[in-house]
Amino acid sequence: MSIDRTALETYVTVTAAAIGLPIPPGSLPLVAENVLRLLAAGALIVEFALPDDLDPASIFQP
Amino acid sequence: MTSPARSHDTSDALAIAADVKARRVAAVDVVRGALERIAARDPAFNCFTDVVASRALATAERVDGAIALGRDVGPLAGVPFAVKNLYDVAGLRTLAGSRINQDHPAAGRDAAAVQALERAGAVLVGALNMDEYAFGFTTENAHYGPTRNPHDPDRVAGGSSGGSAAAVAAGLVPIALGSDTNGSIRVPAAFCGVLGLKPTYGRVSRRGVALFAGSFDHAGPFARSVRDLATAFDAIQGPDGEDPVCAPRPAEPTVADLAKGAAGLRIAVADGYFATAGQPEAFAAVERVARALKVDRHLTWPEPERARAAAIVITSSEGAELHLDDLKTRLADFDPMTRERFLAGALIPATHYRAAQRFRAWYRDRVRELFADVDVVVTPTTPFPAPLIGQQTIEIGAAKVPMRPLIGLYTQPISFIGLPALSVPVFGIGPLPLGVQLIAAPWRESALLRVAAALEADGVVRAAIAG
Repeated sequence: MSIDRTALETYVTVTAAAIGLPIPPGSLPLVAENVLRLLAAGALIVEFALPDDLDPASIFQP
Repeated sequence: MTSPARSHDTSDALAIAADVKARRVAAVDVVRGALERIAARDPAFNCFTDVVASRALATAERVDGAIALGRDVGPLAGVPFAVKNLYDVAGLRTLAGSRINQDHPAAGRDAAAVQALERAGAVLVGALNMDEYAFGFTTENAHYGPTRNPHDPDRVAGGSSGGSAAAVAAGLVPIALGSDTNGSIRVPAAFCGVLGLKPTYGRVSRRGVALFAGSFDHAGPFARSVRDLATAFDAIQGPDGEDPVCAPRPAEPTVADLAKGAAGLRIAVADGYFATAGQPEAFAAVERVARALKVDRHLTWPEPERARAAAIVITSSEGAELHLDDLKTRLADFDPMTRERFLAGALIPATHYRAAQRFRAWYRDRVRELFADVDVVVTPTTPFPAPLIGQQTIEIGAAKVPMRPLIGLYTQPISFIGLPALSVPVFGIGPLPLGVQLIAAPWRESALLRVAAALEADGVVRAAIAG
């Protein structure tokens, strides 16, 4: 997954500020790295075609 | 009372219980022996964060008293056990591996699983170290120190239930409880060379267990023998109206089925994803188990990589949401091992979380189809044996890659849909133990335990006390 580093850190800074989450300057690179990893994981899911009528399993019954 | 408690240091739980019930040894002496063992040996491994000596001796006295009156005290009479410190223990703060929870009030009552084991005659002796808020696979806890692997104290015990697995491997207790969200029972079981069972989601009550990611959190046992594991599992399984995700289905005891072994069970080894990205020893352990079971069938698991990705998204999002207030107000009190990962989890788009939950429903249905013609699937538990404490990278083939993100490679796609899974220990392939993961359809723990019993009877699986 390719994303501009500055844009990623801007996303982290702005989104965190919007929900009142402090990101210490020293933590920003590592938070951004972890967000990138999560966005890459998320991309694997959102690119996968699922039926529109499929309900989420948020209350899960195995 | 002719047998000194000392002779029970290395016994499995059922051997201890048999002697206690026959009054060959007093439960009080067994528990006193365990407390002495913990005091002498735990400083080398750092498994325990709390020892409840007074409570344990009082409980043991009650067990002895009941036996003297001829009462049935349960299958685990006088057996010492300990729990990951995210289980509520009346009178203790439920730390969940955190510094922040030191400011919480002490628990008012025991977790349901603690109560269940004590109803079965077992005796709680303490609480065990873990990764902060269960967010990790190594138990390198900055607040309470790392738990060391009893087979090599320079190496991690695994996590997040590292204290639980190490306490059993070190012979401090024969049974412990842990929790598993993405592999936190199976991984430390594999690294420490003991048995660890993650039951079906909803099989065991989580009442009184601090959550990490509620969609996946499971409670389950560790032991050094299959019969102990099955007995502990039978004691804690079953419905609980106080846990909203505990399934309203009756308990299905497993101990009586162990003697059936693997006869009649359809077993296959997973190929593809589960046969790549690990070190050769991990696959050699699987081959050894497959050979012992005379299994030559292979199958391909559907979309494991995407399942793992979705598990990571859901875990990170739910974990961050659970601790959002503390992330906002007490960030400096988080363990550096979890802090930035929790922060990142709070920033995931809701679309990704919802897509992951929808994918989960799709994936569950595909895996259900797979289990229509197989009973147990065999994979490695981890891609490599226990790494060194502080290790950052690992060599997989010719590549040196970040170590920690890989640890849950084979466990995360399984707990993602709540399947029961059991890690069995295999020794002798290299200098360290390895784990082999046995996976079944929902509610088929009995099949896993039967296969484990067959492997144990063959000598392929064993869980020796370290040292």
